[in-house]
Amino acid sequence: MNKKFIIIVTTAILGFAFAFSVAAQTSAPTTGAGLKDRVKDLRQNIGNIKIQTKTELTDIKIKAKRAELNIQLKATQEAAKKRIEAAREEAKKAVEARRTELKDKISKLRDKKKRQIVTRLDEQMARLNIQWTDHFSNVLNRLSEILGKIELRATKAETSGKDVTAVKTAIQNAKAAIETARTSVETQAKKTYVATFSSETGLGAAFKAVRDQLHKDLFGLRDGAMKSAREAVQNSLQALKSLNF
Amino acid sequence: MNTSKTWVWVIIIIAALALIGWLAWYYGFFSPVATEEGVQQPSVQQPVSDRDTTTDISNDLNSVDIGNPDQDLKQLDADLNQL
Repeated sequence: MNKKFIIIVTTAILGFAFAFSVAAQTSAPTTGAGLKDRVKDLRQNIGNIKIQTKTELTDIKIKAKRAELNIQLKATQEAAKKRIEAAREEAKKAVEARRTELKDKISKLRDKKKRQIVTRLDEQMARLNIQWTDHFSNVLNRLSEILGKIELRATKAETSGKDVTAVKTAIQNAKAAIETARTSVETQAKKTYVATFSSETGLGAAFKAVRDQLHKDLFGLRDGAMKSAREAVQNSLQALKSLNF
Repeated sequence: MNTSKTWVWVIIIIAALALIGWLAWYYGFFSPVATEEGVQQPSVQQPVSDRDTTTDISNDLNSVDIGNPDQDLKQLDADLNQL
């Protein structure tokens, strides 16, 4: 589609230039000074047309790149969403037996208040993992969008003659870091947090151990893969800034 | 005479209601409250802007908050301490 458009535009310009030259030959004054002025005007016109065509071609290239990036982003986000949903489903099935066992044990607790607390704790820990993996996934989507803007800006800089090699390398590194973080989020989504206890006296310790594990995992993900992804995008932006474009 | 007095009262009441409404908004009475269990959903802030200057991109990146699960985990601790 774009190639076709470029061919049409180029043909139109050549036709235009030809028409101008024919017109110049047929209607130009025959005196030396008049002829010189006419040639000068003609050159000026051709120069303007060249600049206009270059701008139009750049715009077409940028638009095509934007459309390509948007399609890529949407596809990546959809795929990531599906992967997390599949991971959760897998985790749910894997832990089903343990959860049934836990519910059974909770129902046998004599203290009603404790029954309510442990039920709530169990639900909250499962929900927290879902909420935070969703949040991290949204953050990665956003970082991808920002990286897309950096890529687009780099394309603009490249068409205006800047050397964008360093920016392209940084963008590739950022893409890899985001992908690594997505895999880590998926791994986190697969994890389950179900307490196991044999007696009522070990109830607090059992739930505390699970809570501590959740804490360790969420912070590990945040301070590890998530921060690395953000830093990689920051590095790409820094490389773009150094172009002074 | 009576009609004009009524109008004055109507205006006073409308002004008072507007003032009460503004005060309620100002002090955050209309803000969303935490969910029943006290766990708030972490969220990504406003959407990425369409502009693509390095300053705009920098602003977009600065507004990305990776978040802190600590607050949510502390709410679990309140329940844990009762066990």
